[in-house]
Amino acid sequence: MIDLLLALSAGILFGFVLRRYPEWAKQVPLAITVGLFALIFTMGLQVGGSSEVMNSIMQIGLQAASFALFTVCGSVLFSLPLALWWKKKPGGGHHA
Amino acid sequence: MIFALIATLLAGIAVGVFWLPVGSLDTVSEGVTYTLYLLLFLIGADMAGSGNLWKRFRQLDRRLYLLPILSILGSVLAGAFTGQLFHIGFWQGAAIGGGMGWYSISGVLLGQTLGAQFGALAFLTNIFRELYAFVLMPFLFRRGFGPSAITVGGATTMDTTLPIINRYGGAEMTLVAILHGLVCSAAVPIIVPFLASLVH
Repeated sequence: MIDLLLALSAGILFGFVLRRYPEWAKQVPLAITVGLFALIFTMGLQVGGSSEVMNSIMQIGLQAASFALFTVCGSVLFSLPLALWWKKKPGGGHHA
Repeated sequence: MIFALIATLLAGIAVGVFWLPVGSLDTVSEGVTYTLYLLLFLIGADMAGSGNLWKRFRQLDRRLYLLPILSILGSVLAGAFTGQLFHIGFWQGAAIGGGMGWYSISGVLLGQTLGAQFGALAFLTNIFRELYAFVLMPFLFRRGFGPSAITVGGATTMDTTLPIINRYGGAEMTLVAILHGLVCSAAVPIIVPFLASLVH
């Protein structure tokens, strides 16, 4: 967890420096999009390449997929009233 | 864009199953780690570059601090319900739900306390949760679910799913996601063993 926070913090410091170079700063969202695709592809590679995970999917995949779906729905449903309440606030729902 | 992301994920899985050379999984894992570091670095730069970061942190709606608590509560209760549904036990299901997408630690913790079968189920359930997050988050943000969309990612919202949140939710949701991920990550090593200890 610490290493992730360090990477984020280093990026924040770099971002302050980058304010002096607006042309470079404009390229950051594009780099994030490219990196996002790279991350998702390698995550897929990691799942597909792991025989342990793939064998587990054959055995208990349906049960695990259902479990995950229900827990996701639980989190979303429980937080939905908060999200609706937040959106009612003037300016709520707008991205900063 | 959303379908392109889903296609990329499926392509990665297909390449992993059919073409990944044996023994190269460690290299792939390293690749994931370094890509993640680079992305977090870029997200940090983007956050700092697009306005006064500290002011935005201070201005963050205090009500959103409740998000991780509701997210964990919903996941644990839904896990308990699913445990009953599949006849594997209320507390066992709750403990699996308490993993919040952190597959490595929840799998190990439940493997140690409830046995290998539950460890495997927790591991796979939380892998699925992370995969669902990649697929569902963009749709939920587009449909106006706002902070609720973040909860899909569980503990991963401060790492692997943060780029998706940054892309589809914007700067404010990125800050909320970091908070959500931090609280969930801190809670998982506490709540999973606690819920597992309630199994008779």
